[in-house]
Amino acid sequence: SPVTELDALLSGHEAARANFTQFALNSDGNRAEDSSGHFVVARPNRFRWVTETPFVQEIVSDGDFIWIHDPDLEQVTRKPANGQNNSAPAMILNGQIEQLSERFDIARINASENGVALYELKPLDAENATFTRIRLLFEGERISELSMEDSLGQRSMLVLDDLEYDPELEEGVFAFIPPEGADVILDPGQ
Amino acid sequence: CSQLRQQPEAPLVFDARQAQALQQWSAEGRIGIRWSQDSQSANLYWHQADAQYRIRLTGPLGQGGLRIDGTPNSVSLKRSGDNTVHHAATPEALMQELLGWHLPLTQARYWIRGLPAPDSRFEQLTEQPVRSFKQAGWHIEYPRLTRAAGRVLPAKLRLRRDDLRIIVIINEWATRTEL
Repeated sequence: SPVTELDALLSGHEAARANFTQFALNSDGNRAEDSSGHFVVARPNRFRWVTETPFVQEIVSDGDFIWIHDPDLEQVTRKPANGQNNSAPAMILNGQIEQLSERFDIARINASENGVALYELKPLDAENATFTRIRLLFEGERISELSMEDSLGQRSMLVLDDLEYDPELEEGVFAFIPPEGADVILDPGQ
Repeated sequence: CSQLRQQPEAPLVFDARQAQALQQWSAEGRIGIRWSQDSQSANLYWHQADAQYRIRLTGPLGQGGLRIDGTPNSVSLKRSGDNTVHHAATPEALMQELLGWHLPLTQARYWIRGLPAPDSRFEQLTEQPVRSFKQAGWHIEYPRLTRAAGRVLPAKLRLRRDDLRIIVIINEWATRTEL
C-alpha cells in the first residue's frame, strides 16, 4: 500500500541532512523564491532547520522543546515539542508515516517509471486542516520535492538537494544555546 | 581588499515627501510579535493600493497562513485551517479577537513607510541615531533604512505599545511601476 511504500522510503534511516530552497507559489502560480538554507533531522523528533537567506532563522528541536531563534526580529521562543501537533512537513522528514496516516489519506498518484514516484497526502478531517494537500516527489530512494497547499490557496514548495541519509552528526547539533543577553520567551504551547 | 572598497556609506537620509508620494506599493519581509501571553514570527507580504490593502502572513514551511483584505470601511480575515471568513468594519477589533494582538492598520500604512499617520497628533522624539516618534499610544522607531524604488524607505521598524512589541523587517519594496 502507499503507506507501506512511503514508510519504507522515509523510515529506512535514522537521520538525514539536506540543503533546501523554499518557493512560494502565489495564486497565479509563478514562483517567488522565498528562502534557502539547510536542515538536519533525526528520529524520533529532533531537527535543526536553518534558513540562511533572505533572513537568518534557526528552528531547533531537541525532542523535548522547539527553539525558534530570529536574530533580526530579536526573538528567541521556546515551545514544547509535543509530537502530536507537530507540523506535517516535519513529520514527513522525520519518517513518522504511521502518525501521518492517522491524519492524512496517503495515495500514490503516478505509475512509477524510471524510478520517479509521486505521493499525495490529503487531510482526513478537511474541515480544519492547515494543509489541504501535500505532495512528495521521490527520485529513486530520495525525496526531492515537498509541495504544500493551505486552505488559503497559498502554495509553497520545498526543493531538496544534496540529501544525505544517516550523515555524520556533530556533537550538540540538536542543542540550542540562547545567545548572550537574548531574552527567551517560554511559550507553554497549547 | 574588500575593507578598502567599503568606505562608510553615506548614511541614508529619510525624505518624508518621497515616502508620502508612494501611494501604491508592496512590502515583503518578516514580522515578529511579542506580548505577555505569546510570541509569533511570520513572513509578511503587504500590498497597498491607495486605501485598499491585502496582507498575508505565513509561518515557516507554509504553516499558519493568515490573509487580511481591507478597504477603508470593511475588512475580512481568513486563517488557514479555519474555514470561516471573518468580517468587520475595522481590522483592529477583529485582529485582537482572533489573533490576540492588533496593529492599527489604518496608521501602520503610514508608519511602515516611515511617516506618522496624518489623522492624529504625533510627537517627534529623536532624529539620530534612529528616527522615532509617538502616535496613538504607540512608540515607533526606525533602526534601519534602505534605498528602494528610487527613495529611502524603512528596512526595519520597532513598534511598542504597553506589553506589545512588534518588529517588522522589510527585505523588498516594490512600487506601482514594478507591481
